[in-house]
Amino acid sequence: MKFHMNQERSKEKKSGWGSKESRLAYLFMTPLLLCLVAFMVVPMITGIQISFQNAKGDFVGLGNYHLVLGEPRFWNNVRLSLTYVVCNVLLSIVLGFLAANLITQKSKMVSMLRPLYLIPWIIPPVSSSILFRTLLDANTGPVTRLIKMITGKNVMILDQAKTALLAVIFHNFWRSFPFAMLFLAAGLTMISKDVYEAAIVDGASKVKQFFYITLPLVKNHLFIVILMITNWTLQDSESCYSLTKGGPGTATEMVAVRLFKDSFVYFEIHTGVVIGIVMMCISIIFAAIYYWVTKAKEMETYE
Amino acid sequence: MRNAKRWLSIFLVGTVLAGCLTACGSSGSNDNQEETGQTNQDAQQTVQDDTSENQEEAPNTEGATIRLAHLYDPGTGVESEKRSYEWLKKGSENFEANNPGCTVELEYYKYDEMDTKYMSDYQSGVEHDVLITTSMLFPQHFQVGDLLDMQPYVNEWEQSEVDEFAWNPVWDICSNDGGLYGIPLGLHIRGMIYRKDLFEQAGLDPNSPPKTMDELLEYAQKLNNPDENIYGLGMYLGTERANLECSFYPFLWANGGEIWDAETKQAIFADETGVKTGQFVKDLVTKYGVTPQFAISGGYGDALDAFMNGQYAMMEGFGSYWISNVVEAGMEDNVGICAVPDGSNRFSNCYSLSIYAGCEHPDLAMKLIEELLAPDVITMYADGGLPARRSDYEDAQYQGALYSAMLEIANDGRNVAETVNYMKLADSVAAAVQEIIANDGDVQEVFTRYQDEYNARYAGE
Repeated sequence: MKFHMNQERSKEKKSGWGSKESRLAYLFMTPLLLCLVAFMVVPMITGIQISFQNAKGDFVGLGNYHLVLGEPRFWNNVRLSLTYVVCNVLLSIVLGFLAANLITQKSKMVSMLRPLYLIPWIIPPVSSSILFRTLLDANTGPVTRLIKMITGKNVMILDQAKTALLAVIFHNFWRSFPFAMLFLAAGLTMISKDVYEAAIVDGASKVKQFFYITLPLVKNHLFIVILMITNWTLQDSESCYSLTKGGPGTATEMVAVRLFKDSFVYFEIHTGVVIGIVMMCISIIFAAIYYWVTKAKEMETYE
Repeated sequence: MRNAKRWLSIFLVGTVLAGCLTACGSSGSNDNQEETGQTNQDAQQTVQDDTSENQEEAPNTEGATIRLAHLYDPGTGVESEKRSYEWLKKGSENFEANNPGCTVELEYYKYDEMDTKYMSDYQSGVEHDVLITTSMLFPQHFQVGDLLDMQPYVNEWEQSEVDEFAWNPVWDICSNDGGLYGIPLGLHIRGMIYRKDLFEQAGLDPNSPPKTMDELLEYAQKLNNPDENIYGLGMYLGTERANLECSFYPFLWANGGEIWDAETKQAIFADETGVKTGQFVKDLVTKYGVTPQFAISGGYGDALDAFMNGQYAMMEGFGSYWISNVVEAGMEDNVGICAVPDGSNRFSNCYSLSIYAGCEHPDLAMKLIEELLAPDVITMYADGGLPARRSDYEDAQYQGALYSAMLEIANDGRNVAETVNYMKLADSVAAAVQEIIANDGDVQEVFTRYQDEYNARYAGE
């Protein structure tokens, strides 16, 4: 018994900071850590520092924050960003889940078509935005012409505030949907068929199978895919800017587009950084909410 | 094996550390460049010393590369882009032939982003040499100090050569405090173009275009036939600056308004005149339907396409740089150009050649500019609208009706608001105009909101 305890202690000692294996592991991690510090932590600290300065580099305290947060236009940007994220995540996840169920079926046709589903995800966002812009052009776009042929009305999708926002959301959904589908399909294929067979024997309906087997078992995949799509959508400036430039007026000017305009079109880095920091806070809030929801569900399951 | 892992990890750590140290070193040298660049006056003094004292301590120019930043992409298929790119190539070839060992490197930038790019590059220590610059953004360039004073070089020119370029109203826009920061490459001026065939179809005299704003609306209504996909008065009202410069400004100036007050340094486009003009533009689209709603999307060039295709009977904001398109399409006799109201102010500008303040070889940069401005080379430039050299107007091709009409309009040419925040101001007005049309918004409310938002940030500059 004593011998056994000594063995445990020596195991603990070996797995701590002092063991040779651990030191080597930390040494291997050091380059990555240094890279993270150099390319993420340092720019972030510099950014925060810039947010307290004016264009000349003088310290202005919370002046830039007051300027940006005091603008009704900025709060409209935030509202649009939230709408953009919520709509895109809902569409991508719900339809992605359905599609994931389809592509995990054993069918020759599905296997053949699977690579095609990835095309929207592979196309660079700026290219797909230009493609959409051409399709939806109010004067010469084929979609506009088709709508006119069918309805006899001039429907100018990118020229009206509400339809322009819908077009931007649809474009982003079209891009992020294959990723959600693929990721969730990976999660679905990991669920053993035995579990479903057992549920059928117990008389569980399809709906119950979904809520009590499928959903809890792909929860981790779902959490990751929601988090990633939320961040992509929140930070998406290139596709939206290429499609509408934030217009008409400021109808599709999300926070990321505003950040891009302030920083790289008007070269107002000090306010651009403030917008960036606010955007980072929104990302953290979203991540915290998802994390909290997942944890809460986990606790419920254990109880 | 364990030793090998240890040495490998030590090597990796060492590599990253060395990389970080190198990066710090290079950023330090950038700081030095910034310091030297920011002392613009010192740089100008250096140029003066170089030119006046026989360049005793001139830098070694052998094997020098001069970077020429431009906006012409021959891959677009647009003829004027191709020809302007050929002009750059020709000037560069001549320069390389006359300065053995030196090479020219062309750098492409998008036209509405290039000036901002130069300014940001200057502040972050990125190098350029010769730049094609936008005249209405000179106040911003003056504030940043990214352009070199070319006056000491121009002082070396023959007076006749100076007169060839100095007649241009844009020459004054390029000047500041006795210095010259750009040499105009032409003269862009905008007018209203109309199709004579559609005038005749509508029972209007093709030789008698509208002369007042009321007549303009009356003509547009007569010419309007949306069922046949013909609109009375086309223009561009999208997100680009051309919205303000080519479409909104002519009407605002005709009403006696301004978008910015130079004394108080505040935006004033929501004043009575601005709102009246906004209402007029909105009514053209939403009330009278003589301008299609799709005018608020797409690019400025789309308006020209619609005119050439016969979709627009009249088009406001037609640039002198598009005359060649009309001539090449064989439409010269079917169109007329005028300014409505007659004798009203029109926005005039052009691209200019400038030297970057951080330029390592300003003498060579100036030589390249002189090669590009040489009489037989500048004629290849296809984006000037109207020629930069005064003597070129004697050429037969500029004696035609369209060029004559444009030259007449050029007499009333003027610059836009000379504010360092011009781009933001122009974008604010463009967004406001878009919003009143797209959302059927109240002009007074929308204009005031955008104006207040602009003033909250930039009033007093």
